[in-house]
Amino acid sequence: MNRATARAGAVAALLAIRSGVITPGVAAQGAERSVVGWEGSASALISIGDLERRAAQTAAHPNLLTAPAARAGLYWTLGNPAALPFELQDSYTQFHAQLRDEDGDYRRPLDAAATREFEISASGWRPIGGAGAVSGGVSVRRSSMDRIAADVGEPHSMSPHLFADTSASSLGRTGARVDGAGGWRVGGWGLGVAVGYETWTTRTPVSLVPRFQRGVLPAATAGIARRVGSIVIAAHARWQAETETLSLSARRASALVYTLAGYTEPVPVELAPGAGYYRRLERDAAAAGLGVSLETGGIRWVGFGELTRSHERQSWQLANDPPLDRWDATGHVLGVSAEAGLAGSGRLVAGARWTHLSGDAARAGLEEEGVLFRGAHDAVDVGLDLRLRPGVRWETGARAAIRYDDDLGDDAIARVRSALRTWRPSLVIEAAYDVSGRLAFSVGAGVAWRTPIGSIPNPVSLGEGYREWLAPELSYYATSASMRSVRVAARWLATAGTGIALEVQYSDTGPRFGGEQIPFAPQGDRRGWGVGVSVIR
Amino acid sequence: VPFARSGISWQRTGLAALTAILLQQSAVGAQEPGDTSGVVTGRVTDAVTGEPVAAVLLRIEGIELSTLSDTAGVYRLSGIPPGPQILRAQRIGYAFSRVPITVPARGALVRDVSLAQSALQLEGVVVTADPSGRAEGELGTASVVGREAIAQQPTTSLSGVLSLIPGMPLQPPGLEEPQQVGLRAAPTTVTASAALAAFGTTIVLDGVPLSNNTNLQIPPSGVYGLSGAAGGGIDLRRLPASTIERVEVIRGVPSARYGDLTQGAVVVETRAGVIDPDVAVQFDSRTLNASLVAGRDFLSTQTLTGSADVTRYLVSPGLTDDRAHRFTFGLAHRVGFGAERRGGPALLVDTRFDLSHLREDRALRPEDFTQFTTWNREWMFRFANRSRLRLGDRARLNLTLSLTREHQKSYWQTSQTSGAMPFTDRLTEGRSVGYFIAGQYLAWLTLDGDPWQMYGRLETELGGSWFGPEHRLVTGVELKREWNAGPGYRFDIAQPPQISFDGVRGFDRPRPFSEIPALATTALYADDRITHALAGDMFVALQAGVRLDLLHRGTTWVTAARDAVVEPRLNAELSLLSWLRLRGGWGRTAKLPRLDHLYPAPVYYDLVNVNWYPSDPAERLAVLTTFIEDRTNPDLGFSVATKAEAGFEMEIGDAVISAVAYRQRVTGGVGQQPEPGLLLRDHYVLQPTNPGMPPNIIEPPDYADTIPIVTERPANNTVLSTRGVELTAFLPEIALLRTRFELQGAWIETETEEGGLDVGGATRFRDFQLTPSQQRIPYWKPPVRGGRSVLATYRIIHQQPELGLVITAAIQHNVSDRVWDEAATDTLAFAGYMTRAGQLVPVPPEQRADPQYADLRRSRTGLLVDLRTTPADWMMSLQVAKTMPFDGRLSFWAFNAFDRRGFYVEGTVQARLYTSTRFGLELTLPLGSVLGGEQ
Repeated sequence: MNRATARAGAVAALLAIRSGVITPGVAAQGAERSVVGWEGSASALISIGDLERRAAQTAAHPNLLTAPAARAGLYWTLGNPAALPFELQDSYTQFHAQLRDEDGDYRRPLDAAATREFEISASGWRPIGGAGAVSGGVSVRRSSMDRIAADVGEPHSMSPHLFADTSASSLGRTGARVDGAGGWRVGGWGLGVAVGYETWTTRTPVSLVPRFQRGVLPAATAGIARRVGSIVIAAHARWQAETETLSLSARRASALVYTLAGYTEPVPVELAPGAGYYRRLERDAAAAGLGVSLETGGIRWVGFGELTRSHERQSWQLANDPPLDRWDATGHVLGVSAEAGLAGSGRLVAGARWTHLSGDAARAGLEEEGVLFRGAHDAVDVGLDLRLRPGVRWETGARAAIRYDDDLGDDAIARVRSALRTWRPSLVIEAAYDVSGRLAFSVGAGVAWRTPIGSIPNPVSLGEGYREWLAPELSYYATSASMRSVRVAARWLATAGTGIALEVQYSDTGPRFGGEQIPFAPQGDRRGWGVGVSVIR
Repeated sequence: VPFARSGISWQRTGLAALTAILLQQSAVGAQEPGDTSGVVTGRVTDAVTGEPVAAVLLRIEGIELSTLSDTAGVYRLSGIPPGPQILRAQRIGYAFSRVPITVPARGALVRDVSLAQSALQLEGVVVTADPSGRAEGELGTASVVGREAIAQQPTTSLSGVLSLIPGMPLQPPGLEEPQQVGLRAAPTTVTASAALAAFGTTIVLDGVPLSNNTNLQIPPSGVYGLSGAAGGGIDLRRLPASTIERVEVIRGVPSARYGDLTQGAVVVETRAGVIDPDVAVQFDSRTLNASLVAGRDFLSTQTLTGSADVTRYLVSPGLTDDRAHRFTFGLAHRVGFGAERRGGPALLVDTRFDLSHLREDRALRPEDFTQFTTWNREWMFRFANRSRLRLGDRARLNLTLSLTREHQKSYWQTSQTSGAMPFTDRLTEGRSVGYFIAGQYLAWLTLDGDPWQMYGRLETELGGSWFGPEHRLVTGVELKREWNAGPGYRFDIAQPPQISFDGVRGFDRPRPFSEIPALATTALYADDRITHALAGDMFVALQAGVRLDLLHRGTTWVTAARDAVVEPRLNAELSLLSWLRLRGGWGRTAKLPRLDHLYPAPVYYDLVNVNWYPSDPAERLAVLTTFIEDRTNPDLGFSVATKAEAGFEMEIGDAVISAVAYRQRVTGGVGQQPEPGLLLRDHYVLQPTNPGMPPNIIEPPDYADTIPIVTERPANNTVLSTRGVELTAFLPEIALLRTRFELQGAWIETETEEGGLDVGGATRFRDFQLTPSQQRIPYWKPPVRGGRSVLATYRIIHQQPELGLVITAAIQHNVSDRVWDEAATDTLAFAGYMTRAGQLVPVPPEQRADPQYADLRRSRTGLLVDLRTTPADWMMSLQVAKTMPFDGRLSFWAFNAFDRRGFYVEGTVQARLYTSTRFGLELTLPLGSVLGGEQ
């Protein structure tokens, strides 16, 4: 063993690429943590201290021909890199290029009317040096968003401080993401570090009101694990520091910039030609957690808990010590997952996770008024991933998930509150057939529903700005919806260890109106399709 | 184990090795197999397989010693001067490797070398400048940045490469603005200090100095929107990083070979030799860059290298979407003649053609009512030939010839709006009827310059042991002729681009640059580097030289000298212990004045005698008297820098620490010397005539008044003083984390003292000119402009050779920044007064409070004497590089990765705003691997 190999393992950068339907802004924010599946689950860039309000979508497809099966583990489920050397024995590399498109009227006010996106990525993992393992990758994404009003990268986070403008120009966005994790085993101990970095920038291709946005999100996770027999106990700490800047220039036309703060009537800032608007967001978040995994009877059980906090500060003055709008949130995550091998090379992964977050907002200049907006959000995810091989040439996979959200918002200035409880069951089934040993096809379909219960402020009694910017979004969440998706893929094994895959995916989302229609609720539907090519080694 | 002979037989080593020798060395060295001093030996192995690698060319950089590894991978080099050196290892199919070594005065250094297909797979990949002095032929402070480090740096030009040396801030890639470098200079409150430092930093490209001396692309005062590199140093945008092999940044006392500098020299060698076709594409939100470098051998003794770099960049993305482009192409040919003698041809001839083109357009917007547009084009064509003739075993004759031709073309237009204003286009002194401009019109101008440079250097190198120590004596003569043959500054005289006229100072007139005489210079130099081993591990090295620079009075080298400077230079290095070296140097350098300083444009004073502007245009009358002030200063000559420095280098294990303290003072820097004077303005009585006719002028003049003026004449009146400390510390790798730390720090303090006088700002003086009742105006001694910068750059390098992965985090720590203007501002601070007759009358300090000077006791304006500081701050840039299939390399980089904002101007806080986050990717792919070429 040479010196280089012997020392391998400590830390390395890599990454993981999130797949799925486009949700503008997700590229700028951390990926949503999957309860069953490794896609994005282990990344240091997973959002901390925030529960983004997702657009309606089905669960991710199993991707039988291109992606490894779901896994449960302290690294795969929780993202503790110290567990990597205990849980990773195989190697995987994927180069991927994908073109995606999404448009339709069924959208929220801060969503783009249409989005086109091209992404190339490389990702993988491998053991290294006998005592270590690394995982990670890189991706670059170019997006074009038509008629988008949002002036923030993620306009559907828990923070009530948002801003938008009426120029409704198109935006071109370029984003890049690098992340990875490395773990090293020393006796029964495991040490690991994961780092991630995501950055993006936007600009208006041609506009009388050009606007520029940029964002960065550095992240790191450090973990330690101790293996005792079949039990692994692990602790980890995570950190993120996000910065986002908007610069808008009303060069040859006037524009209105809206600063949204909870449910208070937004007051527009009128920009005369030649005037500019600046906004900067700084958000730091941290989390600390414990996890334990146990292997018994061929089943790996994982239990974990995590405490989170985040602090967000927004300023709009080009000054060294500017006034700040604030949003502070705290919360916790608790969860379990399990992975079991089934007869005939089958595999089952199941999991459940409860996330609770609550936060308080204050505005610059109104600090003496105390908390002006209070939000609380509970989310419970339950899911399973099942893989079966009914025949030599057949493989099937299914993912079932149920998500329950209890989302409360209380605005002390507007004196209104919202309380929405939402159920979102989802089922995806996929089957793959190996035609010749080198050529295989797969077909999958998914369906999901969203059923909300609760109350939202009556928009009729509120102001014009509220009705334009806030009411449609709350009505969107308060309306039942259904989602469908279908996916077809083919894979050709070019060499013994290298496959080339082509995949096409289509999805459709729309409201389901039963009884009285909620005012301001968006109508129509939202369609998305994607074409991807992968090289898998 | 049999050692390879240093004298290599072409028949025995094969074509690849032969070509490598031809390309990478000037001649093979004079080492004897039995030499026991200055010995470096070791084994070359494949970094992945561990197998020995034969036929690897190993060479000491800058010294003509080389050998090939044998079949067991073993090599041996002897006769190497003691001290820090660079061992270069090269073999086709492997990445080029540069290994820093420190050769002992006695005994042998064993240094094994690993080679890999990608540099990322090698241990200890170099990402910044060498911490020790390893410049070729230079004993003064100099940093060397090799190809390996350049490839690790996200940059599109030489400018970004220079951020790898101490004291230079990190820079984002991009070509949006002219890029100039001023070595060892801190910013002050005026840009003149930076321009002076940049002008005093010379760039040497493949042995030939580049020059900005004849760049006359200077827009007239009052015209905005045209930018260029005139007045400062070379615009580094024309040197793409993709084609650079090696950069030496000489900041200390240079050897006598280098002239026309005050701050330092940046010596650039471009890539040449047998190079597998190497394609690189770099992309970020503003820039798209693609480059190709390839070299082949042919006809046994010749090689041809081609390079191309094409860059498109957005000037103001999102605002204008204007695109700009840079194209560079290079062709290098090398041929050896004559019989092999101790390993090399008798005559080696290098010929290079370089072509670069930069074009920037600010397109005309249909909706822009100002009709503003501007564009800039620059072409540079350069032919250079370097011939090296071996004369015996230890002597060589070098001849360098080059011809550089540039074409610089700028256009500017805008819609101007002017009140009714008389003006004249008279080109000689005298009185004439003028014109009126009023209202709105489209003004335009062109600035067309064609700088030329002819350069020749004849040099002899002589090595040997005389009186004990080892000598390397270099003597040479250098001839340079520079001129500008362009049509110059042109515009429609009836629609001048300048619209601000106070009735005294007229508009600039068109000026053909081709009428400006050429600059002719001659230099003679001698430089001897002496190395002598002392007792034990001790050795001493001296580099002593003298240079004579002559600026000729005429345009050829046969004319008499207009100015001459003798520049002695001395550097010394003493190795007290095997791990400790002390260094010091003292010397003088000199810099030529710019062509526009030697031959400045004349100043036109257009005094308005009659300004009759009734509503009927036919009745209007303007009469102006034109005076022309020649600003030429026949005494203008070189600016001279005196440099001194002392420092040490320590190598303890794998740790390297070096520090140097320096002080340099540039005297005779060219500034503007205000010379007071007066003009007489005649006033006439007008006699009305018939309607529709202008009035008649009644001669003689009714009366005359005096107009005081100040003519600014270029003079060697500026002093630029700099002192500072540079520190470099490379710490050994922490094996557990596979991470190492490097620190580069610099403390720089700069002070600029301009000569002449300060009349309190242009507005105050103009009021004095136009107020006949005001008899005098106070003047002050110009302020001292100061700046202090403390900058540290920490680099954290994490490497996984087996993954081909290198992560570099560069943290720029601005420890302290201060600027100040040093001057008295109280009402008694004035030095004297100027009368309307243009006389300067000094007032002694003890008399300034007298009642007769009450009108002079004014507050001083236009000066900020407060100490302004910027709090400590930091920013970080990140780069991740990883090997790819087909020996490729993918790099992701993010400049200012945390998007740190910096500080705004507030109170006494000086602004320091960091460039916003920029990120991008670079993909490098050897085409040979992709196409299944030779490995």
